[in-house]
Amino acid sequence: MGKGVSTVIGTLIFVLVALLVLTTVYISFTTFNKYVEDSMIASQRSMERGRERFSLDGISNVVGGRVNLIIENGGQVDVKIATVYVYVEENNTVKYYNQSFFDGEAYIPIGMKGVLTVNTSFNLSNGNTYYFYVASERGNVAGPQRYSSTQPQYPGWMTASQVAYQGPLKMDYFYFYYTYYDRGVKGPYPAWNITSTNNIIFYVKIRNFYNTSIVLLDLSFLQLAGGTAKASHIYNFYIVNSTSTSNKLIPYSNSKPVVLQPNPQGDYASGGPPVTVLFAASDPGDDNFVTNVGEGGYSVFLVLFYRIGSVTYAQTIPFQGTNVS
Amino acid sequence: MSGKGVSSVVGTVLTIVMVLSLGAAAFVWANAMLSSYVSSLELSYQVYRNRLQEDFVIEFVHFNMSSNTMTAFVRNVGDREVNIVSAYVTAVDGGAVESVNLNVKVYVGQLKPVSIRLSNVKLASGTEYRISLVSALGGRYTVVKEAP
Repeated sequence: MGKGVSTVIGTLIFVLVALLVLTTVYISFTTFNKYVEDSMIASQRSMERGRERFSLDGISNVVGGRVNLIIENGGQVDVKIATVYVYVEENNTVKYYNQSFFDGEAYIPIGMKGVLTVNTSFNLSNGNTYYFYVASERGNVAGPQRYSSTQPQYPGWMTASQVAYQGPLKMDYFYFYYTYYDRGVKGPYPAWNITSTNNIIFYVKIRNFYNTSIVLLDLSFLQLAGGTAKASHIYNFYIVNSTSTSNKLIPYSNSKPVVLQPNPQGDYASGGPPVTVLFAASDPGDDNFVTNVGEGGYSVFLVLFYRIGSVTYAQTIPFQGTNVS
Repeated sequence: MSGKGVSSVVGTVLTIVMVLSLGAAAFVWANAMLSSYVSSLELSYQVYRNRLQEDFVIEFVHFNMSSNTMTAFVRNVGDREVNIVSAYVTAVDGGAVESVNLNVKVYVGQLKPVSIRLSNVKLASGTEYRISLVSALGGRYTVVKEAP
């Protein structure tokens, strides 16, 4: 019986040591597991940073310190811009602006081109030379993009935010200027600030991202839609012949249509040459006209009817809203 | 007979005492060794994990020739706070290397300008500089920037 007691004690001690070892193994395993998890997170972070690629393509609509930066996401992950740096050459100063200075979210999905509106503290029209850089949340940087008010500017460079792009047609960034011939004022300043819609012509550059030609039809129109409480209507602007001027509108004819050529490579990636299409407040062919657009914010859409071969299609291309004041 | 019984009892007691003492010694030894192993393992992995969680980048560098100072804009893109403790600056085409002691904390997601005042390296326009920032955990980020 005495020998039995010592066996029991020995067994208990063995069990205790075994438990100790098992606990150690468990703790080691858990610690290692946490390390592996952290390694995976770090790898993922590093990989995403490597897959992120974006470019600062242009600057538009400079009014005071307010500027639109055109950013293209050419990478494999979505991009969120965190900071905009502005370097002033003349006095060697730099300022940076975080998201609180942006209008809306600076989020650019894969393959898209977006506009980031930044409210800087600079008077950008003072003739100084400014260099813009944009940095993403992952720490990648694009730029510089030079801006000087003394250099010739494209009139009102705009871009489609290209949300919900679902068809072969895609609006490239385009200059979107308009003419007030009744007021003797030449636009744009700023491009989207429409004082009167009565005699506007919208010039929109459109690209074909399909691999065959696209023929635009006379049913196509540009639409301001939505609005605020002050104006909650829909206004259509009619496609007109591309030789139209604000003094002389020429009806759009399907017998002499705008043809959007495919890209030379024949693929879906790079797009064909951009073609400027005109939309006017009056439709000279049908005696339609657009009444005054009231104050308010609008979404802008292009509603395009077109032919590919013998088949007719329609596609709505939405892009960023505008303010009519 | 009674003598034999006594020696049996003594033998049993001795066996029990030996088992107990040896077992206790083995347990204490194993406990000490495994505790030490676990502690050092956790410590090592904690250091590795801290390094893995730490991540920062230099987004932009501004050069001020008149004060011979550069400002590196550092963003913490990792999952833990970064403490920048030193900067190393040298011209890419050679020359003096300057090390500057710093103590700048950058919190997760934060962007912070880090001012580096130089004395051995003289900033000159058109020259490329290699700037390295080092954290307290040994993390390093290096960029090459040209002074405008």
